[in-house]
Amino acid sequence: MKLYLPPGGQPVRKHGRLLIDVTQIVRVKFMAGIPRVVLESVKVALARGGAPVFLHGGEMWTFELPSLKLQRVRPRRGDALLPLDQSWTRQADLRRVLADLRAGHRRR
Amino acid sequence: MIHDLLPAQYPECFPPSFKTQFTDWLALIAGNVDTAIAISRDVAQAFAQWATVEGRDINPALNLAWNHLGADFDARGLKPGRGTRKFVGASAAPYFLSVSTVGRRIHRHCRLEATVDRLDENHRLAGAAFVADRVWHDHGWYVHPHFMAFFKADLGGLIVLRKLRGDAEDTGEESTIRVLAAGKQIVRHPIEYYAPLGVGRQDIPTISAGVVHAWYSSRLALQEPEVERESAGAISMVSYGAPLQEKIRAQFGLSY
Repeated sequence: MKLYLPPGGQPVRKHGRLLIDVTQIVRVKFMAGIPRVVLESVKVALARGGAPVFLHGGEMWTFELPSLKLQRVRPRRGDALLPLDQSWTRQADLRRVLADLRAGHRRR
Repeated sequence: MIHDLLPAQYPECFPPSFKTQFTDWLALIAGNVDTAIAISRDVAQAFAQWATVEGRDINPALNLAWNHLGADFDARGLKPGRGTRKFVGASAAPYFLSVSTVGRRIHRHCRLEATVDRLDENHRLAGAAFVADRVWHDHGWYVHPHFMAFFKADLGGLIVLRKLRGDAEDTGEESTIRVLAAGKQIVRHPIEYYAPLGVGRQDIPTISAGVVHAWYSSRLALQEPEVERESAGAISMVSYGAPLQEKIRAQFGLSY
């Protein structure tokens, strides 16, 4: 296990999409977590070709912009999911999504 | 993201089901993710220790990182002028938001949430405002520097910050005047005495629009002798801080 302090201001990923798990905010609106911090992270994710996602039924979903139409996100090679700490309340979904992501990484 | 390990470390403080559910999640993280980011080095080390002591499966390639929330500023030696500008301009966001304490769980409609979003070409300054019948300012009201948002581009022009290191001039007051004088509008939220809780004194703004005014309460925690001197002994932990905390606990059913 490597313990380190990430460098500030550096791009974390060169390939793949950064998918930020905003399930808790989608489900309980803005009464949990730190929405502005998440919002800014989501903006960065979008700017880098990523997306905010929420977990439902063991799958990842996002909103198409600007129509807000629901769209399923299918894991691709190189994708990274960032679950926030609230994901501990939704482990069944998280387990299935992590398995999907691993399968996605194996796909060519 | 790992904020803390409290349900695992102090299960007696949580409902019985929390420990199992939370430790299951920690185990899931330890065994399955590539990188776990804690909000401090201490939390990162606690997580590593927990996984080791509990004998959980750990992904051999796991990176354990930490990253502080918000921004880390080194304010030592900051002086008005260029130092202040550097301090405010430290992040990439085009705006600066100054908040002391936001009671998100206390008030359902936290207006500060929308403060930055309401800045635009015409509204160059936003924040919680003190009004004349509560405090003693000749021009009527001003935006308090604790709850202020503005565009960084305005710093030095419409906005001058001079109070970061205790300068006598009031940042919020001066900024308010400058913005108004430039013909720009200000989004202001009221701060006033909060009667339902009866917190504080009639002449001390306390809670409004989801904002807990922590000026005295936070200073009491760190600088009680100074606050007592300034208030001629009228405000202390015994007379203000402790009763305030007790009333908030009672009002919102808090057990800590």
